[in-house]
Amino acid sequence: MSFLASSARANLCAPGDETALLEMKALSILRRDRHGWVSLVDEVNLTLRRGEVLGVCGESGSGKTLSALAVLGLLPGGMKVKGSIVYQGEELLGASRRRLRAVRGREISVVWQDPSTSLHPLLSVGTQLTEHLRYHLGLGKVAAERRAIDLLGSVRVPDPTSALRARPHEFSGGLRQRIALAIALACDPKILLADEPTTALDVTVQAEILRLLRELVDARQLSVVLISHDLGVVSSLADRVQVMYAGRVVERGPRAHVIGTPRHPYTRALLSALPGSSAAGSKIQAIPGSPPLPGHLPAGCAFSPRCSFAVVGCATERPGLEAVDEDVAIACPIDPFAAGVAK
Amino acid sequence: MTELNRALEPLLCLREVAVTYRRRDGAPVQAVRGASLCVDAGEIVGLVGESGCGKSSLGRAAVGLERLAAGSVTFKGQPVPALGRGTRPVAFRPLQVLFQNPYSSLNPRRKVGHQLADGLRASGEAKTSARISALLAMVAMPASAADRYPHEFSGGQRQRLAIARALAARPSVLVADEPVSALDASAQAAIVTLLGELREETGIGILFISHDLGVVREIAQRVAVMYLGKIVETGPIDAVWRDPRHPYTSALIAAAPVADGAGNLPLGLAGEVPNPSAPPTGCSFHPRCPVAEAKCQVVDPPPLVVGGGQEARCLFACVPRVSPGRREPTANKGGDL
Amino acid sequence: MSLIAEGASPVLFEGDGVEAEPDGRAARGSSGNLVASLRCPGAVFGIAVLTSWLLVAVLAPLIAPSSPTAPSAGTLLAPSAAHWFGTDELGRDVFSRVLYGARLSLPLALLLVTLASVVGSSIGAFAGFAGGIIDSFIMRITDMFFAFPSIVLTMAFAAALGPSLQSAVLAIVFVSWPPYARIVRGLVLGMRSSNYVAVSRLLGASSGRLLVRDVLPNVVGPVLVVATLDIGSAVLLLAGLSFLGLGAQPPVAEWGAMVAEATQFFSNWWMGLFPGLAIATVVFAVNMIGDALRDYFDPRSFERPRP
Repeated sequence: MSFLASSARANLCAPGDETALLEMKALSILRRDRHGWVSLVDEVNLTLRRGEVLGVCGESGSGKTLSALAVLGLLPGGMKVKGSIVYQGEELLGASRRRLRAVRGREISVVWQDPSTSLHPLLSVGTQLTEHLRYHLGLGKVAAERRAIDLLGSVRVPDPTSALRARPHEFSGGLRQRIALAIALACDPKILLADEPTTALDVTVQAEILRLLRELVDARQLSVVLISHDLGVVSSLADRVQVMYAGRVVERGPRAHVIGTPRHPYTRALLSALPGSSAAGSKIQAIPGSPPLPGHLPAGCAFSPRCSFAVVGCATERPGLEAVDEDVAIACPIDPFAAGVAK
Repeated sequence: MTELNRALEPLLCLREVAVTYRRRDGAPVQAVRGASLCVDAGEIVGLVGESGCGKSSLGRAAVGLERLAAGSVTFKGQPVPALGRGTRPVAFRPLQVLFQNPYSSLNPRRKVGHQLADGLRASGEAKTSARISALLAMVAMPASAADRYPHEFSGGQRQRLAIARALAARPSVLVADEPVSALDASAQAAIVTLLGELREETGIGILFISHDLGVVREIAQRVAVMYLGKIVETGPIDAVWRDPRHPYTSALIAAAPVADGAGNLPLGLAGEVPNPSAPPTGCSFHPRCPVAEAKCQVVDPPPLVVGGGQEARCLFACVPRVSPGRREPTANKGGDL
Repeated sequence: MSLIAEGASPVLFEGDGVEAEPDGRAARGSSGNLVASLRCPGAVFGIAVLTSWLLVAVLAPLIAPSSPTAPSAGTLLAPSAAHWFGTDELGRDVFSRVLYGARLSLPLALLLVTLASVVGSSIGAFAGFAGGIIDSFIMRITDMFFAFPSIVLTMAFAAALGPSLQSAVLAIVFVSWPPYARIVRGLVLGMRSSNYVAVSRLLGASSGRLLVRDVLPNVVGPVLVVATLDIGSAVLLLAGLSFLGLGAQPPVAEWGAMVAEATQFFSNWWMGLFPGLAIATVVFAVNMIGDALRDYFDPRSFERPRP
């Protein structure tokens, strides 16, 4: 399996790029099952720069959430992790629990999909906000509360002072997610991992949250890893996108390229399956077959059994991520959508 | 109602339906406050709204799973009885339902084939394995599925099985409550395509309830938009999409993110959905409406006819709305570069 | 406290919009895997022990060396080649008594549990189906029965009917049915609002057909698990009552009664140890089987791979 042949060929964040805030290299996550180890995430690379939003797309089973969990050492038990995750020059994989605890919330924070389960149901909003401030920043009670009120204001929760005393269930889903964002950003982390942050919300509420996220990114130079199966959400917010399938990255590049003019057959197929994104008049196309189960991947390209462009070699030769254009890399030697090649 | 009227009427008609729940503390909550909707043979009517608008309650009331607080539901001209303790009368078995959660709509402890056979019994057909295989083929599932249990299948496959079971009863109308919301994009596309094909092949009518206007646009011919228990706009899907006459419909359209790589943020909607037990006076949308005026707080607009089968409950319905920032995606999405 | 500070892995809920993991391989919960779940070491051991005891119960008259009620040798003899478990204060062979004890304790325990579970489940199912006032009424009665300590009730029965095995059995059934009623009523209530029951009803299923086709298969599992674990309790309760003199009356060989008699002959350790071990092994075996069954019936017990 070959990665970038040389950093001269592609302008992707080459290893050693000093503006890279987070660099994940060859991350592999395996799970134990009856017959041995099953690969859930396979040699995934990810680079995140300061102030950029990286969208990680894929359907369920693609490994996108696991990759994010691995950054903070939040994987469920029984998993083996290989590779390297470097944050500001420091290796996080295998770091001590103490170090990880110091990083979580302070440097790298998380927002989950469902605020009704990610917020503590019995503690008041104020307590949940201030505990972060007091743990990481050592603020006193009064200072922490003042800061908490500011935070709630920055995520536009109405009447922050009384909101502090209330419990999460007294708020609507959208407000809860704003509170979750406030908690995540309480200590001014540099990186926010957002795992399907708007999936559980109504579409109008989602739009508000996406706008809020954009504001927060611009105001704080926040870097965000936005994990979502919803390509529309990623298209609205992300600067760069990588698409995952069966635990592997299949396409990576700027948002306008990956979502606007995708090159990998899977990305194309995924976009064609979406209502409303196909050209007016053409019907949505389902992708034949179903994603492979972990441990049952074909020897070559994971997508080959379902790909309409697959040739004989695709099932046996595992494709690496190769740059095909300035800044765009795909894992497909066939590259059927290259400019000038008839479809 | 005379025989002739009955014959000309759409298959499923809901008139001024109201559904009320009682909360634990006794306070009544009006989930549906006077909604009217009809579904005819061979047409798919989309019912769209966000959480709390009452669309699921309306769907359940349409098949008799909820008691009506007011209004009527008729199927082929006959009022649909609420599902009580008795057996469902044969006349109403062609009215079937498809639920959102493919994990809870199939009995986990019964084989798939047996559950499909239930459907066959409902339509009075013989429960032969040939019929079951034919049903499975209609939803593109292998015949071997009949001997397996639901948990051996993925969500998308289970939804197909649920559709097969509903089809076994030879329904003329199917009420589908968010049938694709719990599925991945690819499975969604497959189910949506399947339902569309079924409509063309069997002439079935479908009430397609969804929170996703984009999906409804793919599959439905007509759409009804619901907000806080009322239907605020209805009409042919293309007309409503291009020229929405209710501000809430505009907001829904503008809020949906488009996967075109352009990086445009969708437009949001200020405010929160009001508490259904204390709806605003006048037009229930006025607190959040960008074009509301003083009279909107007082008058609850009735459906105003816009033309071409389109109606909207807005005092300004007859004024074409400038659709805020809605861009049609550029053409090279599925086509060549 | 906070999930992030502690680093606890939060619940990954794949809700609306995201498909949960397809489980192509047959997870536990399909009939095909009942045998597989019972193959775990605990269950195998349990089944082996239980089967042995059942065989003993059937074959006791053939394999017991002496009569369980007639004296066969000198009194209070320690275990020896002639009397493996020694003899008791009346000279009866303890080994034979233990073997014959199985003929009482096991079938009685099974009978008890069957009766209690059938009675309890029926009451619970009726309450669940009926709903409303009938349901509340029945549940309050159930709560009353829950409140009774079995010993007190048995003593009341014994006073009324005279102390005997029959009155002990009746009393135990009387106090054992409430848990089944509660479980089944809960299951039925949950199922009444479930989607697949709604679909069944829309497809024209009658209440009877619903009961058999949809409700029963989902109820059998949990009830079976509770019943299996209850067998152990039944054996213990029976033994306990006999120990108190309220169940089996002398000279009947019943394990609990044997332990009761042994309390007066503490230095003759063999009199109490062997019947006690018999009780313990049966309870243990039944619990192992019950655990395996519980794992098999628990739909959430299989590992779900994360995305």
